[in-house]
Amino acid sequence: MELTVWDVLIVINTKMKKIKDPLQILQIWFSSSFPVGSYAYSHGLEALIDGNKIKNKDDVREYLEALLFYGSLRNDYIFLKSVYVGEEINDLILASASSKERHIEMIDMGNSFRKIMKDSWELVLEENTSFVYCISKAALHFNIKFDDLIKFYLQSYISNLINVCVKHIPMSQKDGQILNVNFIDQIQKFLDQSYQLTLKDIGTSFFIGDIFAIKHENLDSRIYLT
Amino acid sequence: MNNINGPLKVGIGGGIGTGKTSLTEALCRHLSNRISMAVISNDIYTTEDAEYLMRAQVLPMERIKGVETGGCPHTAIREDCSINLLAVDEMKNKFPDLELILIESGGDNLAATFSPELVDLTIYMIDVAQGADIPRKKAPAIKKSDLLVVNKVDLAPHVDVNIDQMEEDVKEARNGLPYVFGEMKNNNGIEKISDFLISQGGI
Repeated sequence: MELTVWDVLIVINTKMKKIKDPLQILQIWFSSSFPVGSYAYSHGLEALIDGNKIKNKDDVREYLEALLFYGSLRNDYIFLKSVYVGEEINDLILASASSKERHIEMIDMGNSFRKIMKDSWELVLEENTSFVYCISKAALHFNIKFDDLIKFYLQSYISNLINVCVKHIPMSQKDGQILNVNFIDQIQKFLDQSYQLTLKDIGTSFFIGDIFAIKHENLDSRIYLT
Repeated sequence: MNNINGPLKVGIGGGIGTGKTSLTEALCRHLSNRISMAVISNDIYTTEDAEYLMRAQVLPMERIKGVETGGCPHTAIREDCSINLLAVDEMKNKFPDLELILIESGGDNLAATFSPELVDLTIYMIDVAQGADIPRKKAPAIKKSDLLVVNKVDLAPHVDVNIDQMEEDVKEARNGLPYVFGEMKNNNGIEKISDFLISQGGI
């Protein structure tokens, strides 16, 4: 008997029933209500805002574009991809932290993510690993495509920092959303030009971000952790 | 007459119990016979503050609107102020001549800021009974609000607060920005606060 298109779809659907939909999983992991404490980190922005270096939407856009194209997000892209294809590079990831608090951020968010995976998602991940390492391993486990993972990762990271600026500068929600829309295209542009990057390309040249992340460690009144 | 610039929108923030509603009440009594004004009162879980203002009859009932914010009072005035923007639009449509809207928050910590999309000026309130160390914490609410009001000055002797020292700390934290020490319940300081609104807000 010849199979029709509908028969094939039913067969695929039955097989898929055991697999959770990757996009639904990503929506949960990268929602702002996912409890890994991502709201608590400003990635140096608090120090820049308090120092009057970042005052409006254009300043924020410039900072976040530099973070994406030249800063730690470029490294995160390489790390996520490398872990995804099986490289065991957790030590290298942790060693790439440019300051003490960045190191704490990597470990603490990794610990929170690992605890949720163990308590609620029936997935045990290796101890003392960075957030990037954990999330890439978990994505593999749940059959999430790398292309989807990286887009959710970068967009939520950027959105989160935009939200820091909306709250701390403060900036209007309208400007916050204009920036989110802008970064849909910027992230695509970054991905288009970065697909050949490998572990030998790690490194950053985003000095203002690193310096202000270090300055943040000694602010006399702080809202955010980094 | 329609107000072509739209009403001046003033955010009143501050911890629970610091006297935000008392300030709102006093400002209404002081200004409502001179200008067309309305109040939007944010509250967690209830609309008690709005109902209090209605019972106190400081404004006609239709000029007071309560907004329930659930568990997130800061969110509703800061990063997602949509429900408050709707309330502002409603008031503007109802009263085209509106010159002033007071937007009272539902109780904040010192990290609170108002969205620049929602308000033109912010008043942040602390009170002496919270302790003398509050201004030394120098958080955004203390440092960045357009006017800082220190309420319940008359309680200082009862809570071991040295008011001169507290004023020194406030002065340092404000770094040149204005502040008022007063007692909202006794109308002490209201004149200065409404002068500030009239001069800075252009009403």
